[in-house]
Amino acid sequence: MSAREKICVFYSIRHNFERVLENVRKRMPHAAITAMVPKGYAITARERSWVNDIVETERDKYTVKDIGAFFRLLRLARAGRYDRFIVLFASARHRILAGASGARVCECWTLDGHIVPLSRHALSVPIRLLCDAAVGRLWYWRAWLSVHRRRVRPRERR
Amino acid sequence: MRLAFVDLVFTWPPAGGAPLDLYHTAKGLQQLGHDVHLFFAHDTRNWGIDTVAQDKLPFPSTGLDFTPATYTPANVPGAFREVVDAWRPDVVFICFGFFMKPFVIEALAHYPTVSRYYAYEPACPRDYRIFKNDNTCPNNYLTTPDACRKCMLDFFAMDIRRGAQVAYTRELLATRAYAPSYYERCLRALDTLDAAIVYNHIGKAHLEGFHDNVLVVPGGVNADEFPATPPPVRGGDDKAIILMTGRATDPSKGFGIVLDVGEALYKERQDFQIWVTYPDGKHDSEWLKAIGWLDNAHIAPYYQQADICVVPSFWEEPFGIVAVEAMATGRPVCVSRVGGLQEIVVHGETGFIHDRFDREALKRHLAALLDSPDLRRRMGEAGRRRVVEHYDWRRVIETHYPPLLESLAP
Repeated sequence: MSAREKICVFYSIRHNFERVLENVRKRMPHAAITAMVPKGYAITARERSWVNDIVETERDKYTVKDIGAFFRLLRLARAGRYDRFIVLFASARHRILAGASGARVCECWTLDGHIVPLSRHALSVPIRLLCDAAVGRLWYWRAWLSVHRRRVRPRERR
Repeated sequence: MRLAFVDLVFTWPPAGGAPLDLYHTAKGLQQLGHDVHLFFAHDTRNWGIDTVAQDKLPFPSTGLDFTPATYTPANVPGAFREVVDAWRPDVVFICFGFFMKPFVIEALAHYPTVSRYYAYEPACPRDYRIFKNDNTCPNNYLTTPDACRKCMLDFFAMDIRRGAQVAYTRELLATRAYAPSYYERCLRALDTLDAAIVYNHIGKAHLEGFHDNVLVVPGGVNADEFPATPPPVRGGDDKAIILMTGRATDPSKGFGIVLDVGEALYKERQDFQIWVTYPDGKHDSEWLKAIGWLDNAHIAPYYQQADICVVPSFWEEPFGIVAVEAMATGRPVCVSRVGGLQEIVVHGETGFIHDRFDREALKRHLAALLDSPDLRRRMGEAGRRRVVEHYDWRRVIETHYPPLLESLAP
C-alpha cells in the first residue's frame, strides 16, 4: 500500500456529492482524493476544497446502447490506479464501475455516513445483475398481467 | 390540541418544498398554542437522503427506522400506528408520501385525519407533477385508473425489469400500486379522511367528487426574511437585472425559454442582464450570468439586487414559492399561466402572466418592465402588499387552520 491512499469518488447528484466528499475528507484527511465528474461539470469551491484532483469523464450521461463509451469510462477508472473506489449509489452500473476499477476497496457511501462494502469479485456483479433481472422480470410480468388483464371500474364522481 | 404530523419522506435541512411547508405549518400551529409532534420515516438508505437534523427542529420529533427491505405495507402502517397511538393526538396530519401513504392513512383512520398534498399525488402515480411529454397530462388516476396504470407501468418498466433499483419503483412494487386493489385502497383512504389540503384549484379539481372537504391552502414565506427593499437605482451603463431562481437545471422550470427570450431581447436592447441559479459558469454570456445554486438562506440578497424576477415554468407548479419570495422583496414577477403561479400573481398589478411556452409574450412583458422603472416600483409594492396579506406564514396559518381544527375538534 502506498503511503498516501488514492481514493476516487464517482460523481452523483450535487448535494450528495458535496456531502460525501466532505465525509471522505474528514475520515481520511491525508488521502489523495480524486473527484470523477461528468464532462462539463462545474465543480464548486466547496467541492474543490476537499479534493486533490478532478477527472472529467468523456460524457455527462451514459446509456446502455453506447457500450463503447462505458468501456472507455472503465478504462479511465482503471487508469487512476486507485486504492479505494467510492460510489454514492449501489446500482448495478456503479457496482460494475467500482468492481472494474481495479481498486482494492470498493464502497458505497450513503449520506448518513453508512458505508456499504461492494464486492470486487469478478463474477459478483454479473451474478447479482442476473438475479436482479430475473426477479425483476417476474415482477414486471406480474404487474403487466394485472394492468392488462384486470380492468378497474372507476368510481363516479359524487 | 395535540397535533401529530406524519411524513414518509421528511428531510431537514429541507430538500424541497414539502418539508419546508410541514415545518412552517407545524411551527405556526405550535405558536398558536397547540402541542405538535412529528413522526417521520427515517429511511436514508432507501431514498439516498440525508439524516434528519432533529435537534434543529423547534418541535419534538420521532424517526422510525426503515430499510429498503422493511419499508413494506406489512411494517410501515403498523409502526406509525404504534408510535402515534402512544402519543394520543387529537388530529393527525398526514404529509408527504408516495404509494405508502394510503396504507398509513387507513392505519390512522381512528383519528380525525387530514392529508396534505404537495403536488398532484392523488392524480398521477407516475409523476406527481402530472407532467408528460413537456405538458400537463389530462388524465387523473381517480377517473382514468386503467390509462394511468398502463402509463405508470410503461414508464417504470425498465427499472422494474432490472430489479427495481430506484426507491420509487421499489415502493411501487412493495405496495402493488399497479393492482386494482390499490385503486380501491386509494378511494378508501380518501373516504376515511376528514379533510384534504391542496395548494391550488387544479389539485382541488382532481379530488372533487371523491372527497367533500378539499381545502385550498397556499404555502407561504416569512415576509420578515424577505424584507421589502427599494428597487435598485440604475443609471448610465448599469444594467437592470432579471433574476430566475429555483431549480433552473430542471427542464420543466423553463430555463430554455429564458435563454430564447434573453437572446431575442438582447438583439433589441442591451440594458439588462439575466441572472440564473444555474451551476456556475454554464451558459455564461454577455447577457446571462449563472450564479450557481442558492438555497433558501442565501437567496434574499439576490432578490434585492434584482429589478425583475421571472418564473417561466412549464409544469403546473403547485405553489410557486420563488414568485412569492420575489414579491415579498418588492419585485415585479413575470410568470407562466400554470398551477399556483397564476393564483399568486395578479396580472397587470403585481406582475405579468404569459401563456406557457409563449416566448413573445414573456419578451413583451420583460420589455415593458425594463422600459419603466415606475411600473417596476408600483408592481413591486403591490406584490409586497399581496404577500403580507395572503402569503406570510403567520397569516396563512391564522387564516386557514383554526377553522379546520375547530371543525375536527372531538
